Amino acid sequence: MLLNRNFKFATFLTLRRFVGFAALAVGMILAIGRFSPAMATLPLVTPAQSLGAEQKQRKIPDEFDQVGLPFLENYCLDCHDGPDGEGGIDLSAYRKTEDVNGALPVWGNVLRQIESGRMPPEGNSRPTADEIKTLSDWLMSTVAKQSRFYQGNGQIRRLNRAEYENTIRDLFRMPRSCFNNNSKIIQTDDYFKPSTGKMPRHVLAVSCFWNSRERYSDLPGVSTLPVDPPVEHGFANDQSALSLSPLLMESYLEISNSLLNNVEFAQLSHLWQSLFGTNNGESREGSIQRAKAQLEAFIPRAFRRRVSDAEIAVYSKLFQSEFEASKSYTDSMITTVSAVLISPNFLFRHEFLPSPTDSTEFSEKVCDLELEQNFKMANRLSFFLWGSMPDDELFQAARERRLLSDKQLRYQVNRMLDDPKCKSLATEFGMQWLKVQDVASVLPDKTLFPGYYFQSNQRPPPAISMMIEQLLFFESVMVENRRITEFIASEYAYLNRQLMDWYSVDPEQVLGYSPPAERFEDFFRIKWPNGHRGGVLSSGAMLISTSTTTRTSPVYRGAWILDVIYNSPPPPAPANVPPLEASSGDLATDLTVREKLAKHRENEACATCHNVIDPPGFAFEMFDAVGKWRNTYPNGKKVDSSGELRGDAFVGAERFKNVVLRDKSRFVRAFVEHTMKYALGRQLNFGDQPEIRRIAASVAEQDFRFRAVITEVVLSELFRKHLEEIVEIE
Amino acid sequence: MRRINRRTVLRGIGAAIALPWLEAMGHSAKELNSSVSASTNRLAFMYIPNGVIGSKWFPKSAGSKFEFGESLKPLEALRNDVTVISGLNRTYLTGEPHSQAGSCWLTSAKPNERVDGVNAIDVTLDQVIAREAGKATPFPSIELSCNSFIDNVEPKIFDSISWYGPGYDAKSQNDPRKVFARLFGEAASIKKSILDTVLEDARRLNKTLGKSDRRKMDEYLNSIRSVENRIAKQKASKSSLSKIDYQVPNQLPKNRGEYIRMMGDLMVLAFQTDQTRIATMMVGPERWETPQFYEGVFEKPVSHHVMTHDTTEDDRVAKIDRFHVEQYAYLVNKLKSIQDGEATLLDKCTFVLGSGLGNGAQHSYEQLPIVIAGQGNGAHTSGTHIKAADGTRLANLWLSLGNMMGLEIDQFADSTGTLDGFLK
Repeated sequence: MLLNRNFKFATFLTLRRFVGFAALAVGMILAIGRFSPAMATLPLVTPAQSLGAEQKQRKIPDEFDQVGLPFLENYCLDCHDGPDGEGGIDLSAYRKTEDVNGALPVWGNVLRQIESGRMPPEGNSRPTADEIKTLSDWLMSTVAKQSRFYQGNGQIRRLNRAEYENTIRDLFRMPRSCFNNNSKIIQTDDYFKPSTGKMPRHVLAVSCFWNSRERYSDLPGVSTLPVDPPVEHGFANDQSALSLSPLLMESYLEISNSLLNNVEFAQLSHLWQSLFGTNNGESREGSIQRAKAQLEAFIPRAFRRRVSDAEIAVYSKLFQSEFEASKSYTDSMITTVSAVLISPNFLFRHEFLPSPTDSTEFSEKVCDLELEQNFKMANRLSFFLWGSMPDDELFQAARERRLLSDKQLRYQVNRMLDDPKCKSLATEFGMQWLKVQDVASVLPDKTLFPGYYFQSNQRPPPAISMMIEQLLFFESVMVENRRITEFIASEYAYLNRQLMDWYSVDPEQVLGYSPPAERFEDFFRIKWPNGHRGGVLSSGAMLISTSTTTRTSPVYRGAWILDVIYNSPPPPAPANVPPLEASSGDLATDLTVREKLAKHRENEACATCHNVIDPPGFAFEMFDAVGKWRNTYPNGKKVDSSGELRGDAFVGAERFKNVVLRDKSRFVRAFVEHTMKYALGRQLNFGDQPEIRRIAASVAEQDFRFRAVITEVVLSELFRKHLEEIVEIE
Repeated sequence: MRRINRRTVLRGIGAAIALPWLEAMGHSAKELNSSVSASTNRLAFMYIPNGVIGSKWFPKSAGSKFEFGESLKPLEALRNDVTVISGLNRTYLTGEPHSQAGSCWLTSAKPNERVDGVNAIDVTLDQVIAREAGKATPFPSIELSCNSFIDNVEPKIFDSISWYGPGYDAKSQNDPRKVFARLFGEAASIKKSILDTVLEDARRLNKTLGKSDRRKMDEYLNSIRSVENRIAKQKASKSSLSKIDYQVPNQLPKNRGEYIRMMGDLMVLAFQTDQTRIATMMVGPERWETPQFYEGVFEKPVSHHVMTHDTTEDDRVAKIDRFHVEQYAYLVNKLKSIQDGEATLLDKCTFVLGSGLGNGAQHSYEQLPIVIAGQGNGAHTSGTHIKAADGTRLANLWLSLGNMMGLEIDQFADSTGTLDGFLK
């Protein structure tokens, strides 16, 4: 174990690590004793803190009796009583606040069920909004008292595909990406100028889907980047998803090999000449000295932190032996730099401390915690906002220990959001949040929806345009610092002619003229002529990706809304459940999907979840399986798009959005949660909730502006806290 | 560091995680005295997602005189080469029913051991076997997937049946062109000096890491070593590989059958040239909904998963089952057509076809479909239908296969013993 290997290092890690272990032991005992590991986001309660909490409890009457117990008795214990409680949940076992403290994940689940309206099930008496608030306030204050627990912040994880691509670009000071990446929706970004605070009215969206290769560029011959697996209810930077297989290592080797030997790379990289270039008439010794100086400048940037002399020496040693064998400065440097590029220090996003050579050097360096914290913050910021390594200014600020103050963080957030590199927030965070990629994998039935395909020529189906529509819309909210509530309802969108036709928007009316149909790359900012569309919910990408090949699926649409808009994805359908009989969908039989779902909900086991999932989906029944407006089902019946969301009745998408916006807090909190998941690269747990709710309230006070969300996340305890502590989870 | 044997690893799952097993297990082939003749057998798994229609799959009578069900009919001509097994079960763990069907199909974790925090995913049977049996070949194992979609739409727990450990998937290849290049093309020219340098850097780094981070570093070290081994072994076998006569396709096949057969051909080729002896191949990810074109079955692309959840579609789903069995039969025939010494390649093979779900509509974990082709070098039966007793665990079969491949273990996952009547 670590303690044996490097005692000095272990002692340096201060009490924190030890406390972490101890707390973990406590957590494990609790877990084994009572709770399913499935819920295991276990609290790390430091002994000192729980002691404090106990002392407090002795002085004041237990809040559990005032808030928790009455709530349970009124709404929960009828079913969840005793070991045979419904769904295996026994809430009668909790008698005092202390019991709750020991089972926060369970209570997190309780609160989630109640707030999402899943519990108590329909037909039972339901708590009022005030009662729910009282319960959540009490739980938040209970959690906050132990808010020292959190999970795995700052764990190492490899760079994902986008981070790798961006980091290579910035490391070698390239004007553009080096990789042929077909999954990118738009290949150029000249239109994207965040510092102007305004998106243009017309965007030329050059894309590999409709433009020839000459119109966009990459480096021919450079190997492609492997695709990362998607993450359900999370983002592609989630630490749990990013493993490193031998197959991937082979790709990294091929990539660094093909990149560093690429001719265009040599021409375009602003770093190439100084790093790899030869100097005429230089002595052998001079070359070796120059290489060492180059590596001293390059490696700390590649590793994105301070680097010890011993670490540099490993690589200058490699250069030297290569140089002695080959006599070529350039070749030797290429070999050395390819080693840097497959070093774990480069491939992993880390918050490593400089490696020890001997304990003296090491302890001197690591004792400078403040400096380390500054460098870690530089990395956190840049990977969050740019999906890339820190730039020179961030490194400079870190070296000067300026990166930890609120003022400096605010300044950096604004500076970084003005930089075009923040595009990755849209292409990664935004597009994954909205599950935009999903629309590309849906193939609507050719007979039922012939217009979806362009059969005469190789033109792309509208899915590509719809993905761009989502991207440009997200970017406009971001660049113009608009209210995040515009994601729900908005008056404008970016459409090309193909989408105007698809959405039945008359170009003459919104533009004053008709752009030619085959100009797929011309996107125009238009004002919606009516309230049917606007916002991400009634976008083609959402509507199609939540349909089957033949029909709409209110269940998929409802689940999408619960997941994306409320960050409250429904649990998966359990095993051994009879399927919904909906074979030919709303086509052949007399029952509409809606009527079939009504039957499904007659089954009580299904009703608990489907009462919550289905209604939001019904709101969008006015849009068919390829996202077009309709008034009747294929069987001739009139479309019924009415439903109820937590007691508020609605008819149709427009009213539904109003209902969502009537209580903005749930959406805002969910958006903050999504953003935080992306910022931290991990799933959230109940211990994060007090801070999440504080941020959401603060965003509301700042007029729901996009930058307020980003700034508050950066300033939050969750984003910064790991800098002070090193806690082991296992 | 003390050497550990495989038995220790399998018994103490916790220890397997905590120890850098990759290091500790090194150079132990001789010490473990595993039989060379046993390890010359090949073992392959072909996985069908979303279960099957059991009524059209399982034969009614047991023994050698069984009648093939409608879905298994394509194997009629191969009846002496296959063993049909019915009655095997797995334990379902509350949670997502599809992801654990595939990801825990071959797992060495007991059910209810949520090893990775959510699922019972631990090092899988193929990888446990590959640690030893795979040492002789450039690739300890290969992992293939016929997931034709370029941007994966399913998370890795839906798209992996092969795992090195909890959360650590053996990433599969889904592009036949890349599979070919990897198996038979130029080995990446990577200088030993580069590997030595990064290993030195990595070791230095490892000292500063906590335990969970070291698991990530184990992944790194594992990958580097695997590349190193592969390059060394591939150099040695390069000359024989240059004679391979195989037409590499210019583009990805559009139809399901073509895709599956092409991937399967590459697997057979890898066995034939002894590039590997262990392989897994997924027909597609669990829950995969992207419509696919099953040529000769339906006129339009259909979504297998969506269809399985509609019981009025059972007959059509069974046609997909039969379609998958046809591809399997093609590959069995191919193995049979290749001579390997006195016998055929098929005789020296154990080629498993199966799914982690019984009935897909209900996400049932009972009555799992299993067919095994080959004779495992004379180690197991063929030409029979084994009707396992009620409640027999799938892991019993895995234990039998593990023993057959030289694993000295008496339990695998939740097995209660080997499968009656399978091993000779």
